[in-house]
Amino acid sequence: MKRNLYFFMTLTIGIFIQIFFNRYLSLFDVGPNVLLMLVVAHGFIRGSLMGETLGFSWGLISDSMGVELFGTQALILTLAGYLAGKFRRRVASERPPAQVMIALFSTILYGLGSVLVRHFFEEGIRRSFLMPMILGMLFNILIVTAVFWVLERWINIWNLETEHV
Amino acid sequence: MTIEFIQRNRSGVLAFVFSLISILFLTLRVDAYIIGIKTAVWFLVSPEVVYSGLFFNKLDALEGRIFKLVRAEGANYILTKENELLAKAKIERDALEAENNRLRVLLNLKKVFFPAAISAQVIGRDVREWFHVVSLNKGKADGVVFSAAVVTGMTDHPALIGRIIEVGERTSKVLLVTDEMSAVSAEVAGKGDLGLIEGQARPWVSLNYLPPASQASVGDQVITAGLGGVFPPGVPIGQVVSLSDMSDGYFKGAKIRLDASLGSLRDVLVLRREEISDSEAKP
Repeated sequence: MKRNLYFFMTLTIGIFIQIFFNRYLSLFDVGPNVLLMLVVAHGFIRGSLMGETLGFSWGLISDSMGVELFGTQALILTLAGYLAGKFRRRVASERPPAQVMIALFSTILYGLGSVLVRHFFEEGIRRSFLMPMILGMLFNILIVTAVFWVLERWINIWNLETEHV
Repeated sequence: MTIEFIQRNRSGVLAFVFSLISILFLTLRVDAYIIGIKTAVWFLVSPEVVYSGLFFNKLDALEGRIFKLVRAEGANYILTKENELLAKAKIERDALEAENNRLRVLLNLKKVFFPAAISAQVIGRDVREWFHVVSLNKGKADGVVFSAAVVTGMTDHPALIGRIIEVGERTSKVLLVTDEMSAVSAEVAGKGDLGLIEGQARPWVSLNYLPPASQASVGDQVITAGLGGVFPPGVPIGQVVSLSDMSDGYFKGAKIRLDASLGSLRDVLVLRREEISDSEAKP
């Protein structure tokens, strides 16, 4: 019950924060990808299960709100959460330098994933991805430490059991 | 076996399922089902989006108020600066007005009492001898002569301040009546009692050697007597503030508050010799 409540609260707050960032902190229509950072942080802190579930849910919500191919965000964020969980034992994600590297690589993989999905599923449309990716990367690097810091405290408030995977 | 595998690799299986669903969505993107699912998800999350929108709209309004506050602060800063400039301009205007008034009084004084007098400005004052000497910007070249009487202008009458003790080519020095070396023959106006104004190196002066039967009283005006040919008769000096017997027990003395404010002297008139004998300044 507590886990479900945590899940829905986090889902709601995450969307809220993403809307806030898009509205107030975007530059050239590119802002920090809070949802990606939250999914990855969940993966590293809580494990793959929570990461991919939240990733899929946030992905679906993003897809339903946007005009991009439906399923793109769901797929990428699911994989991001899953992979982050798989690497949680190999990366000391509590250290800020590691968090910066996590933001860097996750944004690159997110950008490449988007390009691949478009390549396979979208016909005749080519969008520039390099500039948004670089800008987004900078934004994500800026917020990633705060995201990890806040998320750890948020999880502590709920006192959830650690996922052993 | 299969259930055990799933339980052991829960996250992997779930990721696979989620990915499969996502790919299915991507593949069937034009399908009516996808549109339905998209609509359903949007229906579920739309309250949050709507409330978020309402919240952020309020935040925008707050932001607007903040900008208004910032603008008001900026306007306040500009107005403060303008106010400072205006205050400075007012001070300058007041100073000019005061100077104008002084000069007007002096001009009037000159016209009425001493038409031939030389207008001069105080250009210096020895800080160690504040009640002793002031320097003027007029000298021999302007007609200033040694021992000439110097007066300043009150609103409606002149007031004695001293006499010239040094004359340079372009400047001169005035020994003020408050200097201990200064002595001016004076009389109590209306009473006819003669005495000698002597400086005390203080803001006031003493009127000494008044006759024992003097009728002088507090508040009486003291004017120059015109004896000695240095000062013209009838120039106001000051008012009696107190009376006492002198130490020799024979004469009376009085403490005189000067009419002229020697501490703020700016413009003066240096009288010419002919005016000393020809005119009599009556207050």
